Amino acid sequence: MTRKQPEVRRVLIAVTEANSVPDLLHEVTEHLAEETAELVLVFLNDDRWRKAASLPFTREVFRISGVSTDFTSTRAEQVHQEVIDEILGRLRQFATDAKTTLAFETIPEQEAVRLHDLLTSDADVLVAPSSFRERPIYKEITRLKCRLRFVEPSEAARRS
Amino acid sequence: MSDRSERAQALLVPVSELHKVCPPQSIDIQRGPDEPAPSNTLGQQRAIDAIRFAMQVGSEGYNVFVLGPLGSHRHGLVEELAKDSAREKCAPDDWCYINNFADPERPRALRLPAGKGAEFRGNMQALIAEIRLAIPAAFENEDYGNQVKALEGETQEELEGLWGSLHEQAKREGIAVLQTPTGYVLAPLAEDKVIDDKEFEKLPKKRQKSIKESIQRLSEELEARIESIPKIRKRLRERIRALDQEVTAHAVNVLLGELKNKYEELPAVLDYLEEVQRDIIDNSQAFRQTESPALSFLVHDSSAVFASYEVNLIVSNEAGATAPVIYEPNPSYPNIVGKIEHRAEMGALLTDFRLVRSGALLQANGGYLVLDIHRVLGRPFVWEALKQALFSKQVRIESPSEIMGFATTATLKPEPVPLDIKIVLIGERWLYYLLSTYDREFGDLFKVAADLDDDIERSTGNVTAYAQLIGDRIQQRNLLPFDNAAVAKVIEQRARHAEDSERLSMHMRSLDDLLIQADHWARQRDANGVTVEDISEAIRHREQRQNRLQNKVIDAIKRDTLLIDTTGECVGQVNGLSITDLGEYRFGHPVRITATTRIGKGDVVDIEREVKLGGAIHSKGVMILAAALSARYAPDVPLSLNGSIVFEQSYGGVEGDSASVAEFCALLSSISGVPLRQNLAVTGSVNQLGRVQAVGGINEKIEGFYELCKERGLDGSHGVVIPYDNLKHLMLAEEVVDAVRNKKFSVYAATQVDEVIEILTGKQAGERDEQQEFPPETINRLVEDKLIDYAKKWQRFGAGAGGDKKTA
Repeated sequence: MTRKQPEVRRVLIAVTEANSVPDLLHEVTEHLAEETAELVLVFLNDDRWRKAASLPFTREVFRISGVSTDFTSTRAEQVHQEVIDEILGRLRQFATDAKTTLAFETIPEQEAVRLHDLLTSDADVLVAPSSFRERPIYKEITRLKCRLRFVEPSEAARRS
Repeated sequence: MSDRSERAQALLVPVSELHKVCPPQSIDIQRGPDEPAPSNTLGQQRAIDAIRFAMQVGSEGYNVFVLGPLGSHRHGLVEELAKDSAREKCAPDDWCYINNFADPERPRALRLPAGKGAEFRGNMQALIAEIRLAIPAAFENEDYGNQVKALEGETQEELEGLWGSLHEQAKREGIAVLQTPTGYVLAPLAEDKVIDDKEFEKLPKKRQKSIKESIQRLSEELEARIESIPKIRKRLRERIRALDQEVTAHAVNVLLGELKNKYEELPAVLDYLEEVQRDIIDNSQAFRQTESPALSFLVHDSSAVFASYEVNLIVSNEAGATAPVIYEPNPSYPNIVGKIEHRAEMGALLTDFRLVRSGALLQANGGYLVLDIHRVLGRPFVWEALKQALFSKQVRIESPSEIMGFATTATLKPEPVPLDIKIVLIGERWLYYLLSTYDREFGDLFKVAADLDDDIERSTGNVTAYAQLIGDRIQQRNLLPFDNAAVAKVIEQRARHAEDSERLSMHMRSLDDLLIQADHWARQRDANGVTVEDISEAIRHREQRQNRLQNKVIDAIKRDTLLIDTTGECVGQVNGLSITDLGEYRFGHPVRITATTRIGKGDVVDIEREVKLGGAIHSKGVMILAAALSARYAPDVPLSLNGSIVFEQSYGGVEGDSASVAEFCALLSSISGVPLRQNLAVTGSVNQLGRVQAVGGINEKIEGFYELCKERGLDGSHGVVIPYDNLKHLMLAEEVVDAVRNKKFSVYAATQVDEVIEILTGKQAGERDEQQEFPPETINRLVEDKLIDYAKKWQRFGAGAGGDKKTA
């Protein structure tokens, strides 16, 4: 006799600046069958860019041209915002297409404990990239009561 | 008749001379089975020889200008001779325009043997159809897909190796490779975490230095690897392209190989096929598109690539046929030279080699092109383009706007096509002389003139041939059969049209008109054939349709608006005869000429000339008669007379010298005081020796005066005096001839002005005796006496005037 899975109440996507959102959306779609399900995006800010920018000798090498330039705090902030905007844009479009609501929150990785407030039962689902297994946050995630779904990066994401 | 002198009676023209009859029994319109059709060649041997000569001479410039009036069947003759000449030549080569793959704006001209052009075009269309299927099929092959995947896999491995080794190296040296949306940042790690400046400061100096050096070196390495990525990807594309070309070549070589074998004897075609093969292989990726994508107008259309292998056949001849004979009725620039068409695409006008169109020059290349010169000269740029083509011996198709530098859209410069052609220009004589005089290049290009005769001799043989010509034209036009008398009547009319009883007009249009109209009137009476009455009916109706102005003139004379006397006598007044020409119709009518004289210093004033209503020839006539007057009378004394001559009630221009005899008679009447008969009219020109000379329009002039006299009532006294030299031109209407036969009207023929004055006055003119004096009471004596009297008075008047001056 198997235990029946409860209906999905909330789907939380957790990403960092290094992840590809399209890879995760396929997994999200499977859990959004319930019209009442809520979609939450959590951006885990690990502060790596800010830290790198604080060093005077770090440089950003551009992918297209190969040209490098100083990586400053201003540039780190700009990059951070660009990533959030890009992820949010995709999720908003996805939520519109899926006719659901989208909530968004940025959490520093060291404050991952706040995820317990968002994911309280096995009616909730956390979708995260498989690379999270190698991050400090993984210990906190494993303690959550929700269902966990780790997604392997696609071929295209690896290539980029 | 009592007032007529015996000499005048002797000058009466016999009835038989008034109209040269064509006996119906001499007519035979049937042609023997072996006899050639005379329609186009009758009486034109000189022109025919000239045309044949021009067509046989191969050297440049031996083009021909056929001179002849409209309606002289010039086109039929030229067409017949050109086709004869064309039969001796083989059909010329075909010409195509093909894509110039190196420079598409300069399409190439490709020459193929006659009949091969259409075949080659069909072969290329079939090739394109096969390629459209074969190439996509080759790319859909599983082997091709596997090879592409293998190439992509190799590249991917290379790229991953590139990044993987860098990441590993960085990790070994304690450096993180962070991704940003646009690139990479290298940052130091401590315990697998990126550290900030404060944590960095806590590191040993040696470690700090090591980190800095690592980041510096790895950054350079990263830059180098990033730079190498496009090269790796480019290499992949090149390898895929090479694979595509290999696949395409394999598919195409088989198809093109068959064509190459077929055209192995035509090196130009083989060269072209080689180019096609190279281009297909070079553009192999363009052929893979099999379905129309959305917004297809925004993407490259593969059908345009296939279109570049089409063949634009601009000249197509049939193998084994003869050389072409082309008549271009509308010789506009595009119709002669050719044109480059455009198609509208997205608001722009585009063109390519497929839109090059040939003109008549290329269609007739290797043969004969017949053009009407007046139409050529009337169309902009055509004459210059024609000469340019003949001089350069090639046809260069370009738009006039480009020649003028006005081109506003993309256009082409097609390769010129070699030209080997005979041009036959057809036009009226004045155009030939105009071009000969004012166009210096004309003589170099049109070395042969073929001058068509307007008429032919009315010999027995020619009458028979002419009758056959009439028979042919009746047959060609499906007219009712003409009986012999009708044909004879038509022949008489042809002499009348030629204004010469001894010649026959070769103006075919007017002949056709008469035949068709006679046929019409025959059909109107439900007849099975055309008779003399139908010919007469046709003539009568034609005159009736056109004689409105003539009737107006006669009516004006009848109502004494235009003053013409047809009875009685008058001093210094004579009836002249003039012609009004309305183009297709002309008619004669009398005109009153008066002369006045008085003592003076020897001037004869032509009032028409003074008021600029007289033409040069008319003025010349008056001057000649003045000179004749001086020469004939009182040669030993100065001419002391002032005379003036005028065409009364003439308000238009007067031209010609045909009234000079009448003017001379009016002058003699005025000087002598002897009245002239008003029931006669006079025509003819006079020379300085008093000789009466022939004039034109003699039949219409006689008939014009006859019509007026008939309206007023013919009493046998009426008649005309004409030059004797005009007798051969008489082809008078039957009604006039009947009137003369019934002595209701007379026609006199004079050779000397003395004969005319005797007819007009009933008095002898008089000839000088041994003492060089005219007999008393003769006209000439009266004139001479009067002139001597004038001279004496003028001498006295002059002496008196001089004495007065002396006294004063």
